[in-house]
This record gives sequence, C-alpha cells and structure tokens, in this order.
Amino acid sequence: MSRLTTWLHERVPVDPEELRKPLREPLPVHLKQWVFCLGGTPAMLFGLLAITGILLTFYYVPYPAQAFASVSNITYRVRMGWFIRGIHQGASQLMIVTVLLHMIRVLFTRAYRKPREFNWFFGAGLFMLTLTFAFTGYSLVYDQLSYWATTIGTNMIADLPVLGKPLLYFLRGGPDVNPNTLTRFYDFHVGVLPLLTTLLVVVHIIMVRLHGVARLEADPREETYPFFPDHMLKEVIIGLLILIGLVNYVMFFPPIVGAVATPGNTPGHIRPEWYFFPTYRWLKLTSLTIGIGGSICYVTGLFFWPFIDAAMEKIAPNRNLWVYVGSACFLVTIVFLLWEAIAG
Amino acid sequence: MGATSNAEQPNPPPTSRNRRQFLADAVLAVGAVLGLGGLAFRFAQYLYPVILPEKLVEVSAGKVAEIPEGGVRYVNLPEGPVMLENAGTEVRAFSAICTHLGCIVQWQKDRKEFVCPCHGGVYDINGKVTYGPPPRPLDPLEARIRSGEVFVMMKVRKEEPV
Repeated sequence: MSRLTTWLHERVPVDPEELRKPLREPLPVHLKQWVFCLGGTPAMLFGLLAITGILLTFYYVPYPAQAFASVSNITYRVRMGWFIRGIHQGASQLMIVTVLLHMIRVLFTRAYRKPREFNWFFGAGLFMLTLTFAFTGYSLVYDQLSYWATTIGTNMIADLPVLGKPLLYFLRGGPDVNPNTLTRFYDFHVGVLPLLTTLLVVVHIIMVRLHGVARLEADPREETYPFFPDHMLKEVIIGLLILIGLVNYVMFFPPIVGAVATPGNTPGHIRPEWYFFPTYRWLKLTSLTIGIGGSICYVTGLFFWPFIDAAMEKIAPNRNLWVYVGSACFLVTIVFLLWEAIAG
Repeated sequence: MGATSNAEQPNPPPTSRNRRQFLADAVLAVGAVLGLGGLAFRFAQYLYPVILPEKLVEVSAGKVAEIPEGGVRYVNLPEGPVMLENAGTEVRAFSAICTHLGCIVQWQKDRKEFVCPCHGGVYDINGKVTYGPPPRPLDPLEARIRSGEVFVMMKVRKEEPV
C-alpha cells in the first residue's frame, strides 16, 4: 500500500475489495439478450430527470399567478431553457415507456413468482410513483391541460370510498383547486416523490441482489457471466442511445406552452397525456362508481398479480391461465389506449 | 480456580430475566408508538387544510335581458360558474360544473343540450343526464329576479374562524 492509500484507508476504513464484490455479481447468461437489460433504463432516466428537474427549479415559480409565465420564460427566453425542459419532458415520457416495457418483460417471463413476489410489489409501486410523477409534473405547467387534469384527477380521488374526501382536501389544500394545490403538487413532485422513488429503487435493487436474477424456465443453462463489465457495458450503451435519441427528439420537436389555465372554461376535446388514455376511455364508458371501482380493482390486481397467478395455478394446474388473463388485461389496456388516441 | 468460582455463581432464573426484559421492551415500544404516533398526528394536522363552513349568499348574475330568449347564458362568477336559462316567465339557474368529475359544461345552442368536454356527459335543457357517465343532474340553483336583474343563491366559503 502506498502512503497515500494507507492514509486514506485509516480515515475511510473500507476494504476496496468489498466495494468491488457487487460488480462481480454472477448473472444468468440469458441476460446477455437486450430485452433483459430494460431494468436499468428507468433508473438512468430517473437520474437524468433529477438533474434536469433541479435545473428547472432555478426558474420555475410554483404559484398560480406566476407558474405559467415562468414555464413560458423557461421555454422561450432562458438560454437553453427549451432544451432542459424538452429533455425533462421527453425523459419523463420515456421513463413511463421503459418502466412499462420492463414490467411487461417481467410479467411474460413470470419472474415475479415465489420468492420474488415482494419485488414485483415494489416494482408496481415504482410504476405508480412514475405515473404520479408525470401527473404532478404536467400539473405544474399551469396551462389548460394542467388545470383540468388536476381538477379531474383530484375529483377521482374524492370518489374513493371512506378516505376520498379527506384525501381530496389534503391533496388540494382545500375543497377546490386553489393556489395551495399547485404548491402541494410542487412539493410532491420535487420532494416527496423523489424521496419515495429513491427509497423504493434502492429496496428494489437490494431485493434483486438478495434473490439473484430470476432464471428463465425456457433457458435451463447454468452458466453465468459477471455484471461488470459485460452487462454494465450493455446498460451504458442503452443509456447513451437513449440520450442521443432524446437530444435529437428535442432538437426537432422543442417543447411548447399551451393556453394559460382558465378555471371558468374547460376547452373542448380536452384529454390527458397518452399514458392516462386507458383510464380516460374507461371513465367515459362507465358510470362513476364502476369507473373508479374498476380502476381501483385494476391497480390492486396489478400489485397482487404474483398471488393471483399462484392462485390460478392452484385452481387449474398447468393450464397456463396466467397467460390468458395477463394477455387479456394487457390487450384491453392497449385497445383502450388506441381507442382514445384515435377516437378521443 | 477463577473458572470454578464463576461456575458456582448462581444465575438469575431465566424466566424472571425474560419477563423483566419483555416489560422493558414493551414500555419502550409503547412509548415509541405513542411518541412517534403523536408527532405524526401533529404533522398530519399541519398538512390538513382548514375547511371553512359553507354559507348561502345571493349573488348578482347580470341582467335578464342578457339571456337570449329560450336560450342559455354562461356566467363565470367569482363564486362559481353558472348557466342561466331564460324559460319564458322565469329564469332557471344551474351550476355549470359537470357532476361527473368537475369540468365546466358547454351549452350547445343547436342541440339544446349541455355537453361536458371531458368525458362526453350530456344534459338536457332541464339539467337531466341524457347520455354518458354523470351520476346525477346538474345542480340546480335558486334564481330570483329583481328590477330586471338576476340573483342566484350560491354556496360560498366565508373567511370566518372555524
């Protein structure tokens, strides 16, 4: 050991070998396929969102009278403001896509089964947090879409049984959408949600490490390869490709600002961002009670899917009910999304 | 020699030590739950907004003459959005807030219907639901006419101590 290393080691008594251990974690060889490298993508995007989000807070003002003007300022006047906002906006959309792709991969390879049920649960929690991030995020712009999405979204919460009204008052900071609502959404977006997401991401990764990566039923090979450098390299390549794609997307489609929020006027044909299309279409088709109840059932089913799968396996062994039920739910969601996109 | 004397020392009965330990743990646990629970309750109180009581007030909604005959006029009052309908001998008023999820309905003159732009709910001229997901009719409001002016009774939250 050099004198400097010894000096450092005395003050930070950590064995470098211990730090290197997680990098050598053996991974099953099926992870060499690109489709199995999707888990790290949302984590990278979360990092990018954190950086661009912090940059946006330098100019954003979370008060109704100034919020819209500050977003316009960022988009049209601040040097490179359009770029930072565009990357933030694009990365948030991509994060939803990549979390979904990761979930679909885990769903159709049944990687959530015993003993990994809890990790699916944490993953579903992260998906819901991602959607809440997106929802609170576009509510901050304070244009017409923001205002009415906030109104509709919070009113949906009011219809939840028992806790609906108190939860509505808590989220809005009052009975109606008011200046407190924007401040609260801002606090959630930049404080509460990042903290919860970081915690859950750490727990999610620790759980993957504790259990090891799930083996594929269809791939009985026992060989492994180390996380570093092979797998890490793939993740870095994906990250770089995403970054290149995002930057180009923002260059060609820079962000714009819609019309300022007008509480007394709901514009015609208003609808939320694409990731809420399935719920939006469902709410159009059903009564309020069924609409809200159905949405709660869907989300609950998503969280408890590993247990639902196990129960179906018990009731009808080897019938692969999970494939049919899982595919049906997936298809219905896609159909509702496309339906709203085309006919909305 | 030392080892022998150690072995000869009487050990306290394990059950009594366990009981004492359990009691200490239980007191600590109850204290922690009460202390942290109390703190969390105060935090929740801080975050929960003060909800002021509702009061019915009479609000001017403009002149009767401003409402087209047999038609509807939309008025966005500070107390809330209102639809005023000129029903010949009287003026009827409805809250313009869709009873589904709170968007503002729009009057379609040619169809004689109120339509919600969000989830497509449709109400007839009497405020009754004719299509879509709204769970109940538009909320009717009491309207009075004095000296050619329409006054609507509206619920507002007054800035008073709760």
